[in-house]
Parts: sequence; structure tokens; C-alpha cells
Amino acid sequence: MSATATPAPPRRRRERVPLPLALLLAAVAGFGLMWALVVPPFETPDETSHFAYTESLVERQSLPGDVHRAEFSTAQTAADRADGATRAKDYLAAIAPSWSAAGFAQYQAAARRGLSASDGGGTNPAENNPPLYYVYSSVGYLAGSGGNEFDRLYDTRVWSVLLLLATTVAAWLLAGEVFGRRRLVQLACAAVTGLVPMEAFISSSVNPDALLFTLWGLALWLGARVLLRGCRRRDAVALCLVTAAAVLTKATSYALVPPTLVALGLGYRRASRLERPDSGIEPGAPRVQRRAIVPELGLPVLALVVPVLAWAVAASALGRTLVNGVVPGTHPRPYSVTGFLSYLWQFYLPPLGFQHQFNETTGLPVIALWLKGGWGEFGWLSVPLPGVVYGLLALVTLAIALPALRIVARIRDPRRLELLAFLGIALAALLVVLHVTDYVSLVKSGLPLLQGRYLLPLLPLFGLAAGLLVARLPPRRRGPVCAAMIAGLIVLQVVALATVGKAFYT
Amino acid sequence: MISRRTAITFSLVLLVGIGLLAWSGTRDSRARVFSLDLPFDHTSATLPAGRRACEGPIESPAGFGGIRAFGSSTGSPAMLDLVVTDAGSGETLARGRAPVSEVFNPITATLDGRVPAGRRVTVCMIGAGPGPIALGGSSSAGQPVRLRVGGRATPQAVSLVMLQARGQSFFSLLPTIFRRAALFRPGWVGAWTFWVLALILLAAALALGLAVSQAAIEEERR
Repeated sequence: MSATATPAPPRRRRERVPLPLALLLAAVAGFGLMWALVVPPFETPDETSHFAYTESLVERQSLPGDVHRAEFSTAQTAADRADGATRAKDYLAAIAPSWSAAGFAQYQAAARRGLSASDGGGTNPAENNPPLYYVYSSVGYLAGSGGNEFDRLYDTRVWSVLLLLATTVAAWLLAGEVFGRRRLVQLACAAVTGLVPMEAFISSSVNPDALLFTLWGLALWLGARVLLRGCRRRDAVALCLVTAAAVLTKATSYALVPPTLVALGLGYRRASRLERPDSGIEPGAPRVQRRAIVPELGLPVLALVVPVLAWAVAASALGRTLVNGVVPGTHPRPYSVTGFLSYLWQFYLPPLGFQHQFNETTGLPVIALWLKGGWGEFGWLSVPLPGVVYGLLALVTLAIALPALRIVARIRDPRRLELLAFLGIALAALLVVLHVTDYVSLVKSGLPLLQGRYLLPLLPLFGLAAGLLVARLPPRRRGPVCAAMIAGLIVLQVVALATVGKAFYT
Repeated sequence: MISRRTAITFSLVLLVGIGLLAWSGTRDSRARVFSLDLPFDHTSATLPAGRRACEGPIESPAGFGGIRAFGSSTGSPAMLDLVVTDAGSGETLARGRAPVSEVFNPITATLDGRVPAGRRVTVCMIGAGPGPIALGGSSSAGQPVRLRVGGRATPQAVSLVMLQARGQSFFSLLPTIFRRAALFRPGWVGAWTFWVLALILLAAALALGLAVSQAAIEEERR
């Protein structure tokens, strides 16, 4: 080598996927594929409507909702009739989906003769959903476009499994941001997020919630990054784009706007502090140039506002509402603050004698919806796990949540408190949106609206709680506890798949 | 290098969990042979002690040794007798008895004999007291079966499911589950796909166990 040779510019080190994450992703992908293929066609919540939306978008290049058209295409109706999925959905113990090879052959023959997939697009319960998820699912649909309706449905489901992987990666990154590069702790957080059966079940079906989970996971990670590293423009723009994408996926994600704004505000304040020589920030902490607030935060805010406004304008022009409305029942009741508080009390605690009883579920809604529905209820929520499993899961939930809350309550470091504020606001905002919507529905139509899966966008926070617990244990106990968590989740996945297999196929 | 304690914990939890699943799967896990495909959206027949409701003719495409109905008793738990007869000759083919609770639940009776395939049968349900029994079903419109309660025809039908004679373990049902799950799927899916996926999952789980054990060593060294 010549002595006069100029040194090569430093090459950026290529980051490899850490082995624990790669292996976790392999397991999550395997379970995701199993869920996608084991669950019978159209046997996941509202899958008929979401698939019809995707089909309308691909086949007609148009959103559904045309009152002069049928809700489902001939191809979808024929597939549903052949398999008997929606006929069986509420009475699985008495009516099974078709197991007839002859019935399938008959359907295939009819499909070869040609069944129109483009004559749907009529009014559909999902029609007011923003289109982003359906644009994504169109890719899967197109992959199966050479085959029959089952090819298109299952290819769309398998494509959706990628979102489950992305959600798992988002949880890994979130834990990395909060705890640093601690593989064991990151693994605990990501495994809890990717291996909870309900998350895998919904993420491997045709349902916008799959993309919602991913985007919320990414937003939580990016929000933590903006807060902890100072408001770097690239991170701030990414956070706002992800939040906008979440809003364009499901209206529930308006709940993500307040924590995003809080993260931007606190992150900007932190970035400004970092610039002061007397800031007391540890050496090596990332530094940013002092900039005026408008150019610094203007671009991120534009990244949030422009897509959302564009959808609002488009939705208005197309005669669509931005949020799904509630159809009034025959005996609507008036709204009131005390009524809402009474509803909230009854959601989490047994009703008191003088309260108007909402009777949202049999038993406490917090158990029936958040606990059971959050961990796993399959099919059209008509296939529960065995009762004893829910009992164990209640104990596990408390064993993770209570110590984590105790640790969190003792945090005094301002930087950590800011992070907690961001995560807490995300949690509170989603709960407020869900409870207000549920209360309005109960009062207006008498029908409850909540399902356990609506809480799953916050699953990475539960993963963080698990990670926190592992991180605070004595070093020699961390490995075994994390191992027990992950092995327990794998067993739970097997139990859930076995329950579904028995319910549908025996 | 791996943390042995972590690897042992991982393996133990996995083995105990799968072992418990295998054990619980050996308990009365009788597969459906066929059903009348009727929802149980309302009460189709109420049977006080001694009252009989007979439903048929039911074509039996495969042999069965158990029957499941859906219902509850009023006031106190009750017993339900089930008698399967040949729809033509009236010959008794099998009998069974099942307890009925006050909560609406599946009512499962094991028959004392196996009803062979290819028979046209009638299933009679008799309230054996003490409380009356409400049986779930739906309208019989468009159905080949007819229900007679106390000898009188009704426009209702009781939802019935015919079961295998003996319980099977969950693992022995896996080939059936995978074979049935391969229908109404894309062309590239067969029963083999599920076996391959199960093997991949097993390998991934074991590899994940090793990865946790390796990460645990890193964590201990911090």
C-alpha cells in the first residue's frame, strides 16, 4: 500500500439484524402463517366487509358504498356459501364450516366457469374507514388474482403477516430506545408484542387493525426517539408521517395526535436545552443546531396535517364521514357527564345499586373485553380460550403490570418522566376515545361497541412493562424470567391454535 | 456460550405447557361426525318429565356413538334421555342419557351402541325430570327433518350434533384437523403445509430458546 495513499472515507458500518430478533421474527412469522391458514375463510371479525372493501378497490378502482350495488361480489358470496363460514359463525358448536371435499370441488368448478369479483362495492359497514390499509392489502389480493376467491383471500392474509413482523420489530426498537441495546430486555418486549395470540390472529386476517398495530408501535418508538434524542428533524417528520398514516388507517388513531404533539413539544424543548453549554447533558449526547421553532417543527407538523387534511377533503367530496357514526336505537338516552362516569365505573368495577346498569357484558367488562378479548377470542369472537387459561392470564397480567407500575411510580429523572408523560398520554388518549365512543353507542343505540382487540395498539407498552420487569431483576434471574415469559407465550400460542382447530374442525 | 439456567427454564416451561395441553386433550374430545346444521337461536321444544320430542328422518352419512343437543333446565338440574330408532321400522338402535344444567350449555350423551352409517334414523329426546328442559333450535323451514313434540308436529327443529363414539386425544385428531383445514384454501395449501409449518415452529421455538439463553449471558455480564 502506498504511503501517500489518502485514507479511505470511513464506511458506515452495516447493521445486521440481531440474532435474537431474527429468531423471534422466524417464530412470529411461523405462528402468523399458521393463524392465516388455519382460520377458515371469513371467520375473523368483520373480515367479510374488509375483504369486500379491498376487492372493490382492486376490481373497480373505487371505494365501496354505492347504494345501487350489492355489498359482496358474486365471487365472495359464492365462496362464503360454499364454505358456510358466516352461516356458522355464531353457532359453531352446532354448525361447522364445510369439510366437504366434494363441496370444494364443486366450488372450484363454478369458479373456473367464472364468478364476477367486480360486481360488489355496495354499502358496507367498513365503507367509512380510510383507505390506507386497503391499499396495502390490495397487494396481497393482486398476488392471488390469477386464482379463485380463496386464493385472493388467503394471499391477502399472508401478506398481512408482514405487518405482524413489523409490529414486533417496532416493539424491539421501542425497547432499545428506552432501555438501550439490551438484547434480553428487547426480546422480552418484542416477544410479548408479537406472540400474544390475539395480536397474531388479527394481524394475520384481513383487517385494518393489523396496520393500526404496526403504526402505533412505530409511533411509540419514534415518539420515544424524538423525546430522548432531542427533536431531530428526520425523526420528527417520521413520527408525524406515521401518525398521519395511522389516522388514514382507522379513525381511532386521532388518539395518537395528542401524544405525538407532546413528543414534538418536549423533544424540541430538550433539543433547545442540549444547545446550552451549561445544560449539564452528559458528554456524547446528540446535539442539534438551534433553530427557530417554526422551521424546526413546521415540516413535521405539515407531514401530519397535509395527509389528514387531504383525506378529510376527499372524504367530504365523496360524501363520507371521517368517523363511523352510531345509528340511533329505538330508545336513545341523553348523554351526561355523570352518566359517562357511571359507565366508566361499571366498566372497571361492580355496579352500585343506585346506578343505571349498562350490562355491557356478562360479568365485568374489564375482564370480558380487555382481559379475555385482549389475550384471545377467536373466530367472530365466538371461540374463547379455556376458562382456566384466562385465570392464569389474569395472574400473569397482574404479575407484570403491578410491579412495573410500582417501578414507574418511583421514577424521578426528568427525562424519564417526560417519556412516561408521552406513553401515558398515548394510553389515556386511546382509552378516552374508546370509552367515549362506547358510551355514545350504548346511550344512543343500546349496543356496546368495544372489543378487546381495540386495546392492542398499546400492546408494545405492555411489552415495555415486561421488559422493565426483566431489566430490574437481579442479573442472574433476568434470563430465566425472560425465558419463562417467551416459552409461556409459545405454549399459549399452541393452546390458542389448538382451541381454534378443535372449534372449527372437530 | 449460553446461560444453562435460562435454557433449562425455557425447556421446562415449554415441556410442561405442551405436556399439560396433551393431557387436557385426552379428556372427552369427541369429534363431530355430522350435524343438522341448525342454529340454536331459540327454544324449539320444552320437555317436562316424561314428555317426548322426536326428530327425523336424519340420514346418517357416517356412524356415530354420541349425540349433542343444546339447552338448559328450569328450577333444578335435570336428565335428558335420548333414543335413536330406525326411521322406517322403529327398531331401537341406541340409547343414552345426559345431565342438563340450569345454564344454557351443550348437552352431550354417550350412546350405548354405535349407530351405523347409511341409516335413516329418528332421535327421540325424553325429559327424565325433575325439572323441565328447554332445547335450543330454530325453524325447520327448508330442513329435511321434522320435529314432533308429544306426538304433535311443530314447525321447529332441535339443533343436534352427532359425535364419534369415543373421545380422542387432541394430538390424534391433528391429521383430521389439518386435512379439513386444507379445504377451501389456495391451491398451494395442503394438509402437508400444516405439518411443515408445525415442524418449522418447533425448530424456531428451540432456536429462540437458545437465543434467549445467549442474550441472558450478555445481560449477566453487564
